[in-house]
Amino acid sequence: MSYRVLIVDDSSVVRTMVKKAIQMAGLDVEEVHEAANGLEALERLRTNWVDIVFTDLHMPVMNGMELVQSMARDGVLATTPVVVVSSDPSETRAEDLKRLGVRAYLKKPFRPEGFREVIEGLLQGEEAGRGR
Amino acid sequence: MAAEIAPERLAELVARTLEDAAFVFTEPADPSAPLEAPALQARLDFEGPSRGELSLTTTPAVARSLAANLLGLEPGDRDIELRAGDALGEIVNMLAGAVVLELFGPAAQVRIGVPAVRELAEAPAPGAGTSASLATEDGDRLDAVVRPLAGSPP
Repeated sequence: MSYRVLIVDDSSVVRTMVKKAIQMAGLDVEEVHEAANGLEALERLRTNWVDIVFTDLHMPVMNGMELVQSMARDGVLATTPVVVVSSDPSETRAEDLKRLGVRAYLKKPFRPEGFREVIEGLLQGEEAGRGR
Repeated sequence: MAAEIAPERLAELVARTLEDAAFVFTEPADPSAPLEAPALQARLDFEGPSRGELSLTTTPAVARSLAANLLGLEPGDRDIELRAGDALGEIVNMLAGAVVLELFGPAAQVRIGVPAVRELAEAPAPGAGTSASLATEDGDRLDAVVRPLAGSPP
């Protein structure tokens, strides 16, 4: 199965890094969408089917926490897996995000191996869900 | 009272960030020698229990190395020059995560601002705050400064 992903970060450098890390992690990617902030991300999500969202937290216009909160309130978007990729070290924020349904939190700087573990975990969760 | 970081600790965090993110290896450098101009500087503000500013100033050559290594670009790729500033900005963003953790601990809620990158015709004059100077294997300088900002968050 191939996946459509959305990468949300105000840094184009990070969006490229995440794209490469996802590919190195072995995820079969059909489409990559990009957004520079949470508002752009919501626009992409409303017009494109996305299987996984990778998002930064600290962004202008709409930050990652606001994006996750908006997705959680949406009947359709609430089921889309979200992975946070951020330099923010706050454990409190990580717990808040987990309560909102964020599946994983990768701290920057990240390694491709970290992405691999997260993606394998997401895919195993999906397969388990389909098996029920 | 604003949290503080020791210069040696700041130097360690800078070195570790550069190694982990971009495979750029550094050693402590003599801060009394002026950083060669022109230089590139990435700066952002951060906020936790107190407010501060973090900057990283270096040579264009180092910024290009960061872009090449972060993005996996081959020498001569035009993107290296085009994205050098963004690469430096992202390094200072990653460094900010380590700095706020050191200053405020893992329980603090923090805000890390968006990096602003600018070219400097002259090396910046030393000012208030904690600074650390490092040099790459090629001898290029990187100067990091953490400076408290007036006013506490509400």
